[in-house]
This record gives sequence, structure tokens and C-alpha cells, in this order.
Amino acid sequence: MKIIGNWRVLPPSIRKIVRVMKISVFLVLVCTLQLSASVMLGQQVNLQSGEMSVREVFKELKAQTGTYFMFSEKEVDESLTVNANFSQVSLKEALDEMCKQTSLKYEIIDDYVLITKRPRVIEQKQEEKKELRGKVTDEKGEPLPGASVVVKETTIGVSTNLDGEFKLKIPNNGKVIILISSIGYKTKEIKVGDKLDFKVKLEPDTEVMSEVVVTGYFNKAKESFTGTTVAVSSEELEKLGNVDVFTAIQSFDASFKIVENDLMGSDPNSMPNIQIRGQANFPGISETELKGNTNMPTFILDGFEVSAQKVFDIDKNRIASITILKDASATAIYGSRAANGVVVIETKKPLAGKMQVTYNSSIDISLPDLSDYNLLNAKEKLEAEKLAGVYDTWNGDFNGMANQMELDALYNKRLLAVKSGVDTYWLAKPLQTSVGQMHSLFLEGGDEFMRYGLEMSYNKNVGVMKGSGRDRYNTGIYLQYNTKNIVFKNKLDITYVKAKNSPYGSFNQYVRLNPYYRPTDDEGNMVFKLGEGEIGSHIQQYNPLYEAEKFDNFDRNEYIDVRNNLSVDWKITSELRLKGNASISKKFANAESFVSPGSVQFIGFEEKDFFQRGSYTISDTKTTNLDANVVLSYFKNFNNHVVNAVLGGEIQSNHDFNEGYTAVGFLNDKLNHINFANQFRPNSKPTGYESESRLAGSFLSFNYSYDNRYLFDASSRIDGSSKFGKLQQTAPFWSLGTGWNLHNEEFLKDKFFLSSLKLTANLGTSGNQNFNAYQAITTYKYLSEVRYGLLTGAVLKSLGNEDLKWQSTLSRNLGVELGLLDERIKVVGNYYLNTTHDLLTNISIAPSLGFRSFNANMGDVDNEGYELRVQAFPIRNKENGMMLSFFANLRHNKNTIKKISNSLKAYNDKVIENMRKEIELDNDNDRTNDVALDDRTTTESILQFKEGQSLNAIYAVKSMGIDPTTGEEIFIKKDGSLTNVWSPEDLVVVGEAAPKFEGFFGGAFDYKGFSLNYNFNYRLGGQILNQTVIDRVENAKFYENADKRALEQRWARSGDHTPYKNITNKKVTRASSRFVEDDNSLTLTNVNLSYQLPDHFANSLSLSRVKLGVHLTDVFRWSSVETERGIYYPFARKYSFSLKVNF
Amino acid sequence: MSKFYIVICFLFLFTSCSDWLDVKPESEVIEEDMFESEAGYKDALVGVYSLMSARGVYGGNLTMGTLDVLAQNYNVRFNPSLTNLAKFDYTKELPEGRINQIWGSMYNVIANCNSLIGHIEQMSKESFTDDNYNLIYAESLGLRAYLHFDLLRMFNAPYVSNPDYVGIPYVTTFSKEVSRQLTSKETIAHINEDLSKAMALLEGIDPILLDDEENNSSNPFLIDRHNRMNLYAIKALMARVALYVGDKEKALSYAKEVID
Repeated sequence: MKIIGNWRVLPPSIRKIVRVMKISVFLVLVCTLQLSASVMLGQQVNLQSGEMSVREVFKELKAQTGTYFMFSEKEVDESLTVNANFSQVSLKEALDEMCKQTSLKYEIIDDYVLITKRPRVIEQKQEEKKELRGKVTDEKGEPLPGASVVVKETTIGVSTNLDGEFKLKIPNNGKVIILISSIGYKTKEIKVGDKLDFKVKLEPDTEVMSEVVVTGYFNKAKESFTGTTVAVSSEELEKLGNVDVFTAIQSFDASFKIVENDLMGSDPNSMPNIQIRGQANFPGISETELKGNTNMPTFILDGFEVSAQKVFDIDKNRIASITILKDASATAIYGSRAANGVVVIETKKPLAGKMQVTYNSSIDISLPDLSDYNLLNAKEKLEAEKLAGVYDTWNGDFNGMANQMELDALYNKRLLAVKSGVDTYWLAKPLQTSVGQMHSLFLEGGDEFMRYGLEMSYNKNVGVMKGSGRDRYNTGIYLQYNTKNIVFKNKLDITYVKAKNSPYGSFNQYVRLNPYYRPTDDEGNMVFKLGEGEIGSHIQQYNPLYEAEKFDNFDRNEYIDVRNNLSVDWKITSELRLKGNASISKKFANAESFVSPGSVQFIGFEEKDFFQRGSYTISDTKTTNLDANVVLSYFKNFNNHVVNAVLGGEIQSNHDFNEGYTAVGFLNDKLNHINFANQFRPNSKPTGYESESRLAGSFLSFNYSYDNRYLFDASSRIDGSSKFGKLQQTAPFWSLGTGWNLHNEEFLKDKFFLSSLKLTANLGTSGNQNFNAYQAITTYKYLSEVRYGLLTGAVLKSLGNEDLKWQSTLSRNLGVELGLLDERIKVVGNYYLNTTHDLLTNISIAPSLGFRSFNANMGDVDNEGYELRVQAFPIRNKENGMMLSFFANLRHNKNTIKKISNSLKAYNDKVIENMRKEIELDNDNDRTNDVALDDRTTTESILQFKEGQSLNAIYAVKSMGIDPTTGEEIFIKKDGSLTNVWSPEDLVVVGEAAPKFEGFFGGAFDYKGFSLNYNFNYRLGGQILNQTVIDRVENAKFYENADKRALEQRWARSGDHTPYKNITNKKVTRASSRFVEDDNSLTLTNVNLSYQLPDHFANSLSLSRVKLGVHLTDVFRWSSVETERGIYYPFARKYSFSLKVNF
Repeated sequence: MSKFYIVICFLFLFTSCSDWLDVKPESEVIEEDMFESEAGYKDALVGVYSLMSARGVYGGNLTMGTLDVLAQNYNVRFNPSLTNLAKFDYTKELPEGRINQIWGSMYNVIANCNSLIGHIEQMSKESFTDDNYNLIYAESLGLRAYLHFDLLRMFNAPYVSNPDYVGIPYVTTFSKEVSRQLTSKETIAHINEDLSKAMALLEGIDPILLDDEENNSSNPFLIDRHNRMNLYAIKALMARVALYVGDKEKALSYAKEVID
């Protein structure tokens, strides 16, 4: 204490006594003191000194008023100054002014003034708080909703809204530190200075998914969401190298399944079929009535529905995130389009700042994978032929009417060829090791008002069959303009795709060719007929290479897709937001094929048809899509309640227009423009179709969470569609969901190593309206080729169904998300049961109605299953960037037909009936004389739809195997008795083609810029009817090449225990349980290694980031079934080398 | 507050869209649009004639095709499939298919008649030019009766031996509702009802009555009246129906009207 004046001379003890006395005096004489204080403070002071130390001011004031000032030297520092300009003011006013300028306060005690520092509590009451605003984003600049913003060491805090923005009132004193945190991100500390507007970027903690659920229309905070979604980030996609988007997604979500296509293999132009959570449509039958594949999910790109093909051809480098919406809570807002799940893709938006360039490039090498083919070589083939009796006169099947001498000569001729070393590996002939490449360039930049992005990419995908490939060109312009409350965005996107199919035709032709033939003659000229001039062999094999290499046949298609998306995002208040989007797109597709006049097809044309040789077919399709939506969202966060409500409306229109024609009569294949054609194909007319469909819908989505513990979701949508019948034009859909964040409960907080635990349950409906545009209406068509006298007329085309409506799926989902040990172990599990009602099928009706069938909603299918995903991070060292992780996912889906229509029942019977007729015909005719019959023989599994069974059930006759004594197959009839006769009445379910469990597992290791990851795919517990064994071993036709097993594992003599019957047995083998094998497989789908150059090295090249990568796809595959895969197009292994540069 | 009005306006954009959902196909014509104009009725009627001339009906099966084989007018020994037909082995593939085809195609033509009749019945005579209303209406009624009469002759037991045989349905509407099977007696009653109605409509106005107009007409719709279900065809059919049920007097009187 320091008292100016004589106080300071008193010893401390006395001073204390004096003080106590003063306080008691103060209490007694409070009134007088009040008076004396006011008198004291009323004294006039005058000081005009400007900036001056506080102590000096007190000295001066004492001199003028005689008042003592008491203060601590510590609190009133010498350096503390005030601006002292007091002209004829009272002492009070002077003191007030001084306190205002500093953090001091004063008290009148007796006749002196006590100066102290303002204590905190009082300060806060007195001082106004200042408001802090800010925006929290993730590392990519995407807003991060639900992040918590807290003032350090206090309870003051808020969480960010959907745009990642927050407002926080903080005390207006010196040093305030705020903590910003969000699950999955590193917590950030920020010192608040004078700046009150922040942009905070959070770095991801580990490989944690973004905490926003992107629904396409709007974003939801993930922590309060009760639906099931899976998100894939651009970094994760990047790791996989240059593969198409579908292939990339499937390793992240087990329920997203690319239906394995053993027929089309790795054809770059074959669009994969996708199922999310099982299939709900009758295969084969309904597909003709329904548009395309009806199990395909709906794809949403930047808020608008797009075709699967658009996604197939997208530049993967431009994708910011992919979100798969699976259950009712997640998909109900998509109403009548959501039943098969929704895949929402968002592309990258440009970031502000000076111009940044990102360049991605890759070189892709594909090698054909023929490991599934196990064919006889020339020597073995000849031996097999000999054994099968090809060179015996009794065997008319192969040798027609030749005599034994001719047959011996034929054998010897072939033997000579074999001995002289002819062993043509025909499979390799149409194949190549292909080299493709990809380049993608992105420029971005801008300021706080204006942002731009320019993109350009070229992706040349070369197939392993010579001449096949797919070239994709893409360019886009993105512009964004921000005003205070409104953001305008516009994206123009142009895609050009050019696809070529191989002129070498279907791969299965090459599989059949005999290896003892050579494709060229002695002079090296391509031969047309293989083994020309052979007597006795009445099956002529043609050389497909002749056609492919001698003529310029082509089969190609291309399209241009131009798309413009405009969006206006208006923040009306901090809680209310209105977003409007509009999109227009036009696609011009063109398919052309040309067959040279010299082609095999035209051999044998008569002279009068000379000008009909060669053909050119053109088909043009124009597609126009219009789509617009308006979304009004409301977000309110008060106390512990968070409410998020969204109201939206959408209209959509789709128009397809197709025309096509064929012209014939070309002179040679150099003159192959349509212009050189002589005429249209005789008796043909132009073809084409037209279809228009429209959709209008509105939706409401409501999300509420209390204290981030109890969550509730509800949404509904009403859709109207022109595809529905007159009486059914609006379709209502709804969903309800609830969830519980157990980790936010007191009793579980920081217990049992538990870092997060969330339970969710939801149910709701969604629909599918993926059928043809005019199915519900009765229409007339004009008969253009029939006249009646001089008049032409119109007739009814079909019987419409005014009650036709959407297929509706009731889905139920239970989910659990568990995180242990600070999210080092994460488990996500879901159980679902989806019932699809009102399946659209063709119904048989009484023909007296004038039509035999019409489309109606009939049939129920159940899909029940569960998904599990486990992820572990044994090493997660943030300091040195070392990370080791493993993951495994599993999916189980069981499919049950609940109800089928009468026409499907009739179909079942008809199939059986046809089989019976076919067998009858076989017995009637002397089959050995009619090779053509083979093509009519059904050896496949018989497609049947039975209530209670699965859509993937394999129907065949039960078999005991091959009788070792006779070499004949023994069948088990339905009544249990044994027989040698295959009969369609005995068809039973012998297997289930869908695997019991399937999924992926793999791991990743990151260290010092190196990153390695690998994924395995597994399938367990399903069955397959091994068609290769039936067709290429048992029914092997020895005039063409066959599987090795045909020679090696066949029954030969009594007592042989073999899986296959006698080589000379020409009886047709049909589907039986003997060929049903367990289909277990393991595939190393990809291995990726990448290295990011150290920053200083990159900088020395004046680049900001350089990343190199090696990617291996479909490295190896093990399967319990030996079956030929890639029938029309072989599979391939792909090796890519990638480069990513930022500067 | 003006902000909020704009918001509300935005949302109203989505309210009136029921018309918007009615799309019109370009490559085919919706039933309602077809019958918007007189031309549509004419075209639909011609369509019925065109369908009848198809191979599955009168252009084959019902004339020189199936029925003539059944009547043993051909020697089909060398064609095993047709032999089955000639032998009346209806369970074999070809005969079964032919019979299905006849049944299905006949009723398909009837459905076309019914769609036309259903629409014309809701129209007034005045909305058509000249006598076209009567002509179109009468012809389609006549055709409906004609088609059913042939179905009756093919699929029902002979009337004279069993008039209560429950056979073909007489379909008079175009809808998803299945019509009941009727006895031959009831079917004949329907046929006569349709024919009488048609006759009444055509009496006095059928251009065929004005002998020379038929070929010289500038109106193509009226050309070749003899190829249409004209008044005489109706009367002749009534005569055949009467003869079929054994009413020879009535048959004679209608036949005489045609001959004279």
C-alpha cells in the first residue's frame, strides 16, 4: 500500500489498526461520509496535460484537491498512462474518465480515494460482451456443422450451424481463447484479438468420414442423423488409381454391389449393374417391360438426378464426396425414386485464393487374364477327338457320310499338323496388352466475392480386345459469386464420349476354334475357312481373324452431354435459408455400325443382290432433361435443442427421342460413309421411339436432437409422375427414425474405453418408378403398313391401367455405431428388412378383353440382411504421420419371393412345358443328324419363380452322380426314387446363387509420405451351376475345342469313379445338382502404393504438392469353382502409374 | 418481411402442376385424343377393318387358312403340323396356337370396336358432319355383331341342337372387367340387338342406297361402300343369324330385302 502524504510514515501494525478503525467509523457514520464523499468528489479540478502517467495525475489531483489517493504500486504501474484533459470538471468526473480509460476503479474511503484494479466478476457485469462470428470448415473448405466452439475454461459455447457458421458472445477483455472441436478433427485453439470474424479450418484427426451427411438437396449433421449412409471422400477415391467410380465405391460399402458380369468381363464399354441391399425385381421377365435395370439405384450428381452412364463416364478426380443413402430415413426425401437406394455425388468446388492448378495423370496398362480358361491343346484335342469317335464311321454326328479311309486320312492330316508343331492359341489372337492414359487438369481461384474453376480431362481407356476402347473428354466451367447473403453458383459441363467395340467380335468364337488349325496359310495370308478341303468333317470352322483384319468393319457409338446447373443460395437469416437449383441437360447420342461388302455375311449373295452388300446402321438418340428444385431450410439451436427442418419442392422432366435406319449397298470398305450407300435395306423402314415423363414432388424433412443425445428424424414426400395411372397420380412416402448417442450420456462418458456409441432405428417407405413412360395409358397407333382400300386406320396399341402405380418398398433398419479407444476401433452394424410391394409385372388377362396381358402392380419381395464394418487403427501417430489401419466389411442378404402374379405362375409352367417339348423333340428326332439342334438345347438352370424361394435360387434336378458301372448319371426324382432320365418335373431348388457373406477387407499403412493400401474381396456360402462343365465338358462338341476336363476326368470303363460321364456318350446333359458347386472366392482387388514428395523438395520444383502412385487392380483371384469367365469379353488385370501435381 | 413473401412465392411455384403431369406421346396417340375429332373416329373404324384383314383373322385363319384345313379342303398329308389340324388334334402345338390366335385376335378386333362404340355413344349426332355419326356407329355395331357371330359359330355347340350351351362371352365394353360367358341364346339376342340398332341407324341414309354415288363420291371415307358393313351387309347378316337359329321365315324376309 502506498499512500501519498503522511500515511507512509506509520508502522504497519498501526496502519492496520487505523484501517479497522476507519471501517468501523465508516459503518457508524455512513451518512455523514456519504455527504463528505460527495463534497470531496464535487471539488473542481483542472488539468490539461494530454497523455500522462496515472501516478502523475494522482499527484496533480492531490495537489489541486488535497484528497489522498491510495493504491498498490503493482496495480498502478508507472507505465500506465491516461489522456488527462480535465477542464473545470469535478473530481468524480475526472476519476470516472480515468477509470474508463484504464482497468482501474476507485472507492471513497473516508477522506481518501482507494484505487484498485477491477475484479473480474464486476467487470463482466459492467462490460459489454463482444460478438464473435466465424465459420468452421474441414480441410477441404467444406462447412462443418455441429462443431463445438467453446471459450476455454468456461462453459460459454455454441455449436456451428449447417453452414459451419457460429456466433458467440465472449467477454470483452484481453486474452480469450476459444476451442473449436468436432469429432474426427483435431481440436484447434484460437486467441481472440481485435478480429471478430474468423475462418477456421480443422484438420482431420484420422481417417474419419466427414461429419456431414450429403443428401443432395441439403446437408445434415451426421451426429444427429438416424439414417444409414456411407460416405467416401475424394482422398479415398484417389488412392484407388484410375478405375471407374462404381468399382471404386464398392470397396467402401459392402452393400453397394456390382453384379459380377461373367459375360462381359472387362469390356470398357459395358455398364455395370448395381444393387444396393439386394434385388427386388424379377430378372429376365420384368426387364423387358421395365426400363433398363430396375435394381439400379438413383444417382444424384450435384443435386440433380443423372443416368448411371453419366456417373460411369465422370472424371473421378473431380469428385469431392460420394454418399450412399440406404435406408428409409436417408432416402425418403427422394420418394418414388428411392427404393433401390440413392447415390449422391458432389463434385469439388473451387477454393478462393490465388490461382491453383491441380494436374492428375495416369498411365494404365491392361493385360488380359485368361487364367479361367483351361482348354485342350492341339495334341490333347486330337486325342480327345479320337476317343470321342470323331474318326469312326459310326459316329455321324461329326463326320457326315465319310468312309473310314477318308476319316483316317483326315486324322493323319491333323496328326501331321500337330507333330509339325501347330498348336494355335486362338484365345490370344484377338487380344492385346493395352496402354491407356488419363489426364485431368483443374484450375481454381478467386476472392471472397468471385470464385472460378476450370476443368478439363481426357481419359483413354483401351480394352484388351484389339480395337475396343472408350475415350472420355470432359470440360467444365464453374463460377461462383458471393454477396453478403446470397451465393450464386453456375456450372457448365460438357462431356464427350467415344466408344468403340472390337471388330474381332465376341470372344467366345475364339474359345471354340481347334488348336490344330493355323490362322494363316504357308505364305502368311489369312485364311477364311479353317482346314479347308477336309473331307469328312462337316462342321466348317471359319476364321474370325479374317473378317477382323481384312475388312474395316466398325461398331462405335458416341455421345455429347451438355449440362448446366445454376444454384442460388440465399441466407435469409442465420436460421433460415432458401436454395434454388435448376439444371438443364441435353445429350446427343449416336451409334453406328458398318459391315464391309466383302464380309462373310455377304458371301453367297446372288448377283441381283450385288447392290445390297455391305450395310450401315445408324441410330440417334436425343435426351433432354430439365430439373429444378427449391429448398427452404431452417436450423435453430437453443439451449440443448437443435431443430433442423427442411421444406422442398422439385419438378423434373425427361424426354427421349430416337430414330434409326439401315442403308445397304456399298462398293468397298474404303467408301464407308453413309453417303456411299445405294439404298435403304429392302423392306425395312426407319425405326424409332419417343418417350416423355415428368415428375413433381415436394418433401418435408424434420430433424430434432436434444442435448445431442436423443435424436429424432421424420420426413415425407409426395410425388406425382406422368408414368403413373390416371387414378394414381400422387404417391406419398414417409419415414420415421430415432437415435440415441449413448456416448453423450453421463454414465457412459469416458467409460469402458468407449469413445462413441450410437443406436439408431428407422422405418419408412420409398418407391421405384423406373418403368416405361406410357405404360399406364391406353394408346392408339396408326397402321402405317396396312391400308383398307384407300384408307388407313388406327388401332388400340395396349390396354392401359389407370391404377398403375409405383413399386413401393417398406424398409426397416436398426443400426449401431461404436467407437473404442479414442476411435481407434470402430464398428458399424446395420440390420434391415425391406419389403417391396406392388412389383410391376405383366398380368395375364382373359384374352376376351382384347389383350392377353397388361401391366399391373402385383408381387411382393423381401430382402433381409445385415451389414457390418470394422475398422481399426493400431498405430495412429500424429507427430510422425505413421498410421496403420485395417478394415473388414461383411454383407449378408437373403431374398424371398412373397407373392407372384398369375402371369409369373403361367411363366413357370410354360418353362417346364417347353422343356418337356424340347426333350420330346430330342427323342423324336435322330439328334445325331442335326447339329443345329444343339443351339436349341437348354442346359442352363431353369428360371422359376416360387413363393417362399429366393430370386437367385438355382433350379435343377437332383443327381447322385455318375454310376461307376454304367457311366450314366443317376437322378433323384421328386418322390425319392432313382432314374436315368432327366425330367423337368423333378426340378427342385439345389442351390442359392447369392453368397451368404460377401464383402471386402484390407489395410493401409502411411508413413513419411508413403502410403500403401490393399483390398481383398471375398464371397462365401453361395452356389453356382457350373455352366462351363455342362457345356464345355459334358456336352463338349468335339468338332470344336473343349475344356481340359473333357479329356481328363471322364468316365471310361466300368469301375471308374469320375465326376463326368463317358466321352462317347452323346446324350444331352442338362442342369443337375452334379454341377452345383460352392462358389467361394477371394480376390485381391487392388494394391496401391503412393508417395508424396516432401514439401521442400516439391517447392524446389516450384510445385506445392507432388504425389506419385502405382495401382494394381484385380491382382489375383482364387475361386473354388473352375469356370470360364469373360465369355464375350475377357477379364483383364490393370496396372496404373499415377501422378498428381499441385502448383 | 418482404423476404418472406418471396419465399412463399417460391413455394407456390410448386403447387399447380397436375396438368404438367399429363404428357402426350409423340409416336402414339392417347385414347382420349384419338376421339377428340371426327377424323379419329373414322381412323379407328378403318383400323377395325384393317385388323380384320390380318392373317390371324379373316386374312388367313378364318378364310383359306385354318378353317379351310378343318373343312378338309386341302391335302395336307405332307405337312405333319397341318395334318394334326386336319385330324382335329387340338392338343398339338400348331392347332392349339391357331385356335389361340383366332380367339385372341377376334376379341382384339372386338376391343377396338368397343373402344370406338364407347366413345361415339357419348357424342351427339350433331358433332359429326353429314351422316357420319350414323355410319360410324352403325358399322361398328354391325362389326361387333358380325365378329361375335363368327366366334359363336366356331366355339359354341350348334344352336339348333343346344341353344343353352354356355360359350363365348359377348363383350360390349373396353375395360379390364372380364365379361361373363353367355348361352348361345343370350349371345344371339345381343347380336340381334346390335344389328337392329345398326339397321335403324343406316336405314335411309346409307350411301349405298344411292347407287351411283358410291364410286363418284369426292369423300374418300364413303368410297367403296360395298367393302363396308353397309345396310345390305347388316340385313344379310340378320338373315344368316335367323337361318342359324332356325327362323327360316325371318331369314327369307331379310334375304329378300337384300336381293331386291
